Formats: sequence, structure tokens, C-alpha cells
Amino acid sequence: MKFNKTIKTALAAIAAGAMLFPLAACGGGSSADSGKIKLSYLSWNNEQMSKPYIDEFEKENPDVEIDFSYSPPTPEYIQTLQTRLVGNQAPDVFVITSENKTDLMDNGYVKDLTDEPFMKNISQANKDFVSRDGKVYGMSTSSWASGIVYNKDLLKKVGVSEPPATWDEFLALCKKLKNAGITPYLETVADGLSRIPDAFQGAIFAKNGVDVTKLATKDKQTPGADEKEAVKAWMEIYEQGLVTRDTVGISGDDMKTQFVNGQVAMICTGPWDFGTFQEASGLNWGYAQMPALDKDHENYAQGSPSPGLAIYSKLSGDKLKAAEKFLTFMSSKKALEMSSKEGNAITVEGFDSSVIDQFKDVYAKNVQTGKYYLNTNFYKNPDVLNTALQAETQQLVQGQITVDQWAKNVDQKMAAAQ
Amino acid sequence: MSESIAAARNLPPLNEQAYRRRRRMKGLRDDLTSFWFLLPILAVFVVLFLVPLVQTLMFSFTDFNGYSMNMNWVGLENYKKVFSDSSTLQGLGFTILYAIVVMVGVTVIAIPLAVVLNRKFVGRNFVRSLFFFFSVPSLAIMGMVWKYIFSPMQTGVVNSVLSVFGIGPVPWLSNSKLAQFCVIFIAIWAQIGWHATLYLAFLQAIPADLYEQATVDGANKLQQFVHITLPQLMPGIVTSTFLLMSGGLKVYDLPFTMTKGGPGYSTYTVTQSIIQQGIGQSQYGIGSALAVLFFIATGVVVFLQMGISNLISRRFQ
Repeated sequence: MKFNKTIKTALAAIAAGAMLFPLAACGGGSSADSGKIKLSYLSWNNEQMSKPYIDEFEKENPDVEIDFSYSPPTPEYIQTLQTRLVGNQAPDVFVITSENKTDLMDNGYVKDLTDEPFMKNISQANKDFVSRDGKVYGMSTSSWASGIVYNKDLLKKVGVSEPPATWDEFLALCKKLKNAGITPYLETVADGLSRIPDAFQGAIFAKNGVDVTKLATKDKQTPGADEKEAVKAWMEIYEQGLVTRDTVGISGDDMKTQFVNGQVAMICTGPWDFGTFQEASGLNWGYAQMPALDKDHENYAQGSPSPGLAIYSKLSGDKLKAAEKFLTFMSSKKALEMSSKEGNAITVEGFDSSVIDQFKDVYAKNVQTGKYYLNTNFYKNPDVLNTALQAETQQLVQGQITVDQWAKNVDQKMAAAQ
Repeated sequence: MSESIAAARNLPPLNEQAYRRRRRMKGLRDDLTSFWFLLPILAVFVVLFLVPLVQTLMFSFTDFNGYSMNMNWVGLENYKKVFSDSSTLQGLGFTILYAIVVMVGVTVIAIPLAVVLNRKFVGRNFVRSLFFFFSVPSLAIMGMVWKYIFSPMQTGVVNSVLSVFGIGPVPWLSNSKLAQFCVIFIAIWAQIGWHATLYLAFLQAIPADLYEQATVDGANKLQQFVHITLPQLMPGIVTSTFLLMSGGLKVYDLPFTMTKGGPGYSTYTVTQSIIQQGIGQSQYGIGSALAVLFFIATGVVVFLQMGISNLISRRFQ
């Protein structure tokens, strides 16, 4: 088949056009001007989860229309937000969390919310989470705190009704269970440091009066050296052979399955697993506070405020007012009730979440009082810290390095990232 | 016909220069037409490959953090950090080990497998499909599935089977060496089917006369394999090893989904390091420096491998 020059050129042009057409389609986007203020909102909760809030807000504020977009947590969300901020397509309201808060504050992308009326009832721990130099940059309304989930029937076999309050007593209980032929405890370090050292560290900082909100502004970031004492105490459980060193290769699901099947007496996890335990037939379980380092320290938990909502710092005029209205709504009784129904432990003053019976103790003693700590929340470069903690802790548990080396390696990673 | 020949005889003698010019013009016109056809893909190549490549090179000399376009020139600082980071060097070690062992392992198993699959036997098509099927799911999905199979718990699939024979739980993914073994084993297992199919295509193109002549000359099966099959398969071996080596050097999905690079850094890879440091930790400068170095290193390794493969294939020609 022969083509003359005209046909060939036309074909080439059509081919070129066909390649460009999809690209051109990306750039479009019609927006009907309805006379409403359009507020863009980027969330890491999907549309199904966010829609009830948006619908309710729009019902209460008919002059504002939410332009919702979603990106799943956490790396994808951070990447999306980062691209939009740098590309001058910043959302008006977005999620601020431990992994991006330092960068958002450093680069001035988030508005100071300290004196906003809707911040009045936000708990201090939730404010501290997104604070710097006394200024608060996000609104977080709920928190989580981990604890020790225990099998009541297995503990009963050694004459104990619930896990004890201090670490030494906890180790003694583990020994007792082990001697009775019961696997006492299981955790996972496949994804990072165990939850226990953070609980100890929170109590140590509280006892020493350390202002955790200032840790990120220190010139030298030393989470390894800071948490060394807590890690040393935690490693006792491995050194005494009370937990398998296979925890480096055990996933959270593996751990949960073992517990649900009655193969282990205690595990350490958080409220997100309650659904599984409630559904497990015949499982008689409880949820206790994490043990304290010793009698001189309080019972802290590993825990954290949930991600907050932030307002883009360059907003002004009607858009800013609309954004403030949205945050006011998200901290209102109506929105908090909706959030509580989803299982979130609300920490806003004057609001009590209806939590399940097993969680009541930890909710009252740790969540509502703010007695929880998560190391990656308070240091610079939390992603670097997370990665370093995961790899170094696995080597520590495998017995390849000592606690001192662990601390040194973690701090070296932090120094290299600065 | 005779009239046209006569007419041609009456034409003035062809000016060679004009003829060449006309041919050149025609060539240019053809080239221009080809260019229009190539333009779309060229545009895509420039926008999606060349521009990011140049940008990566540029970022590697800056402290770009992804949040602010006000970046500072830091010279070779990022490159120094890459070379002084022990985790990256460990990642490089495992990446090279993975690429070489997987390349050798797949090649050594896939060729005999292809020879077997090329023979006539009952259910041949089913067996061919079965082996090919292993390579259909992505390695990321394979990693997630095998993570449960190789769970170090007593309840892990492999450990459950071993316990039947009285063998205690093996710490598959919680021991550094065993974790490396598991990742490499699955990579080989998952890829042999695809590469065997590739070799099968080359095997089917070998003329049967060669084997008939060799049989007449008294060559046994092994001699036929060494002196006929292998040399005839050389183009296939070059293609397969090139794909395995380049794919192996940029591996990310399988080790990440199985072990997240652990225990420690035992299954950490260079690509994971680039993604983690560059995107995950917003250290675009370091991530870019690592990507540039890795791009060069991969290029050198792949060209070396192609050169060696070509030398070997020439030896067999």
C-alpha cells in the first residue's frame, strides 16, 4: 500500500494530535460559578468517610462549597500535598501530621491558629503535637493510646486477673506464664520500635520536666541517646528470653492472629484492633495500661494525637473565613459526635467519647489526660527517625548490636539528615 | 514498450549532480515525514525522561527538600553523604547480590526447563501455561503472599509443613541470611517461567536439520545441547540476562513487600534507598545524588554485560 506525501503528513499530524489529546484533557476542569465560596479540602480520609462531615457543614453553611480531594495516608498523602504546595495549587484546608508538620511549619505553609476561638477546647497534648515556639498550627480533636491486650482466661491459669502496673512485675508475670507453658507476650518490631520504650520515655520526659515541643528545635537531634534508658529496660524482656526474637519478622497481623487463637497471653497494640477482638468468638479479653518503667514513673502509653486540620497560610478574605468556619464545624459537638461514633477517642475538653468497656481505663487515664508519647512526633525528620528506628531496632533484637550502638546509629542517621 | 525505450534513448544524459541532489531532497522529505511520526514519542521522551533526568542531576547538587523552590547549591555534599551512609552501601551490596544470583539462577534453570518444555509430552501446553503463570502476578503481590508463607511463626505455612516432620520453626524472615535467601528464591521462582517461555521461542526457531545432521554424525544429546542448542540460544541468553540484570539492579517491590528491607538492612535495596530518602524523607538532594550514581553504575554494568554477551555470542558464530 502506497501513501503519498500529503496522506503521510496528515497521518503524522493525526498521530501527534492523538498523543497530545489526553494530555490536553488533563489540563481542563470546568467549574460552574454558583456564587458560593469554594473551599478546597485535601484529606487522607476517603470520600465515603469525609462526605457526612462535608454534607453537614454545607447544610449549616450554604454559602460555602467544599471542593474535596483525597490521597491515602501517609507517604502518598504527603507527596500529593507537597506537589500541590510547591506547584501553587495548595488546598485551603489540609491534614497536618507528624510526618509533614516540621516541613509545613519550616516553610510557612500553615496558619497560626493559636488564638482562634475554635482552639479553645482543644486539649493541651493535641496542641503540643502541632506546636512550635508557643504557636499552634493545627487542630487535632482525638488521640489514641496503646495498651496491653490480655487473655483473661490464660492469665487466670497463673492466678492473675490483669497485667501489673510496673515493668519488673510485668516481667515476673511473663516468667510465671512461661513456666506454666503459656507463651507470655508477643509484639512486632517489623515496622519499627516496640511500643513499650515510647511509653517509658514519655514518663521519663514528664518526670524530668522536658518540654517535648522543643525537641524538634534543638540543633542536635538525639532521639537515640534520649531513649537509651527506656530501650535498655525494654530489652530485658528479650535478654530474659520471655519473648521470641522472631518479632523482627512477625507482622502485626501475625501477632493479632496468635492472640485471637489463644496462643499468647498478652500483646501490645491499640484501639484499631478492638474490632477483631470483639468479633473473635470465645475470646475473653481485657485492655490494660502499659506498665510503668518503675514505681517512680507514671504509667504512660505509646500514643499520639490524631492528625489535625491546618489552614493554608496564604488564605485571606472570604476563603479564610470559610476555612475558619470549617474548622469551627469540625470541632463542634455535632462533628465530634460523628467522629466518636466512628470509634475515635475524642480529647476535646467537655466532650466524652463513648468508648467500649475494655478501653475505658486507658481512655480515662492516658487519652484524656494526655499521658502518652510517640517519639516520631517530636523530633525533626520523623521519616528519617522512623526508618532508622526500624532497621536499628531489628538489629538490636537480633543481638547484632548493643543498646549503646543502637542509640549511636540512630543519632548518626538523624545527624546525616540535617 | 519499444516506443518508451526509444523515448528514453532520446532523453538528455542524466546530470549526476542533479540526480544526487534530487535523491538527497527526497531523502530529506522522507526523513521529515518520519520525523513527524516520531514527534509525539519524542515529545513524551523529552518531557517524561530527559527533563526529569536533567532535573535530577541538578537537584543532586542542591539541598532541595520538596517544599520550597528556594534551594541552595551544596556542591558534592550529597554525593559525600551517599558514600558515607552505611545503610546505602549495605543496600548496594544486597542489590548486586540479588541481581547476579537471580540472573544466574533464572538462566541456569530456565534454559533446561525450556528444553524440556520443547519436547513432546502429554499435557505440554498445560505445563507451559503453569510455569508462565508464575510470572503473571506482580512481584509486589508475590511478596505479600510469600510473607505469610515464610512467616517465622510456628503457624507460618512452611513452618507448619516442617513441623509435621518434627522440624522446629525456622526463622525465615527474622534471620538476615534466611531473609535474603527467601527474597532471592522467590524472585527466581517467579521469573523462570517467563524466561523459559522466551527461550522456548528461540528454541523453536532452531532448524531441526542441525540436530538430524548431528545425530547422523553420532553426537549425543549433551553434545547436541552444548554445540547446537546453546550457541543458537545466544541471542535469547543476551536478551534474557540483559532484562534480568537491569531489572535486578532496580528491584524494589519484592523485598519491600516481604521484609521492608529488613531485618536490619539485610534486604535493603538501592531503589528503596532512593525512594525512602528522596521522596519519603524529603531529602531530594541526597535521593537525586543516589539516583544519578545508580544510573551511571547501572549503565556501566549493563553495557559491560552486553559487551561480554556479544563477545561470547561472536565466539559461537
